[in-house]
Amino acid sequence: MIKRLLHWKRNSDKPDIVPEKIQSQIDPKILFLILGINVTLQIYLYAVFPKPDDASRFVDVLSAINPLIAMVIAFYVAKKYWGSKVFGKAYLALALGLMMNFFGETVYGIYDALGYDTSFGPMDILFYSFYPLVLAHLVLNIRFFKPKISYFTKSWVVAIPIIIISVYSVLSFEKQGEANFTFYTGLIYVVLSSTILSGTLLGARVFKQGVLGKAWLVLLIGIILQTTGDVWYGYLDTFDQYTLTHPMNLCYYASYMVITYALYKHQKII
Amino acid sequence: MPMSGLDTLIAKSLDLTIKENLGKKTLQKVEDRLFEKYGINITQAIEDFPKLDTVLREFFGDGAEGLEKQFLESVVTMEETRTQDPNWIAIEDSSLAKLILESFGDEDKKNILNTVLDEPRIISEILEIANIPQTSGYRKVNSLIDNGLLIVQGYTTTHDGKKVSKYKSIFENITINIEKNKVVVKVLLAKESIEKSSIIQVVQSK
Repeated sequence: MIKRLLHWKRNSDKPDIVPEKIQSQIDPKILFLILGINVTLQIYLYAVFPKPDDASRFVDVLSAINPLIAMVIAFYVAKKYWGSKVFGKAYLALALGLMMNFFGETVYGIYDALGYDTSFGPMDILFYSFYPLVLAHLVLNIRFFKPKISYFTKSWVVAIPIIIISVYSVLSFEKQGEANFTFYTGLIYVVLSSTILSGTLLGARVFKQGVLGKAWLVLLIGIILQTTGDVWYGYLDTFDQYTLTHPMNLCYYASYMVITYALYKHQKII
Repeated sequence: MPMSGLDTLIAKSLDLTIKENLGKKTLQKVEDRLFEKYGINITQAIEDFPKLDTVLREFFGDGAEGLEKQFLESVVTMEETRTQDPNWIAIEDSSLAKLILESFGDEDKKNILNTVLDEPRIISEILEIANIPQTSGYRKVNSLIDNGLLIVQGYTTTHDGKKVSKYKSIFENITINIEKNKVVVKVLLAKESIEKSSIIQVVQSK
């Protein structure tokens, strides 16, 4: 408040200049803050839990809190656009998707606490639900803002998931020599995740020239982190190398933080 | 520059369409920016569509393209079949269709529009041909002008040197069909109506 008053006092005699273009830059400090939080978190996990299984409770809570915060913000943003045909529905879909991930993490935590098998269960159905809902968010936006998509664009939108799925499959299959159940469950995540990555990239391209493109760029970073996490997790899980304190978890934690920032930017811009 | 008849006609529904698709908050942001940058409100921006286009592009980038097409298509659809004249448009917006039907349902208004279907005329001439009393006639002509169904096309100079505007219907033809309980209104626009419409010019140029 005092800062604002001082700023006003210093500038009150200067005429207001209307900016030629609307400004809304991505704040690198926020991205560094997210990076810092995650690096600190990883150091803490390594220092406090030398045995990864001991971090179970801590990681379960942490994994649920992240999508919970993003979900709350997404519902808040959806409420701001409530009633509008595009933004209202799109942000509701995204909020529901994040809610599915929150429920998934909660169910996973409960299963883990009760000592049940967590390799595949109802939480995976909830996790899978996140992707079609994010896809609904993307389709609602893109179909409305860019109804005509060129063949070239369509081709790279299809090519990106194919490349990611192929790389994942070849690497996993080469190392394992067979496609087991874990490989296929991981593959579902990779297919879904790479699809939304491709869609988000298209969305970011549509809005690139506008100020809204900034929010979409941040969302793209969040989705890239999510996809990286999914591919990495799928790969590690196939070879039973996944641990609760593995740094790949940071991709998920950071992804929700970045998505939350994207949501904040979107509602701030428009 | 006066607003073209077609733009007046479309603007009536466009305002609502923007609110429905973008939401109140977004509309407010667009309105604020229009006022900040050009000192105009949304209705004036629809009149000067390139300015609205610039502001929408500032926010949505290439997304403005789709947005503008949606705005237009929720109100009218341009016929692009080989068999039909490309200037035929189908009225999608029910309030707009209602306005046109009501105008043609009113005997006096229908006569006024019929009088100026082919060539532009001054108001007194229109009322004389349509055989409508001056008082109610002027009221009905003004209502048609306000709703964008009559547009100014040229002037004539009276014997006392005054310039008097000539008016023409924005349509050259109209068809009203009932398809599966839905009233479908299609109008053949006068070429100059399309050319004068900044909304259609901006949308079609993309």
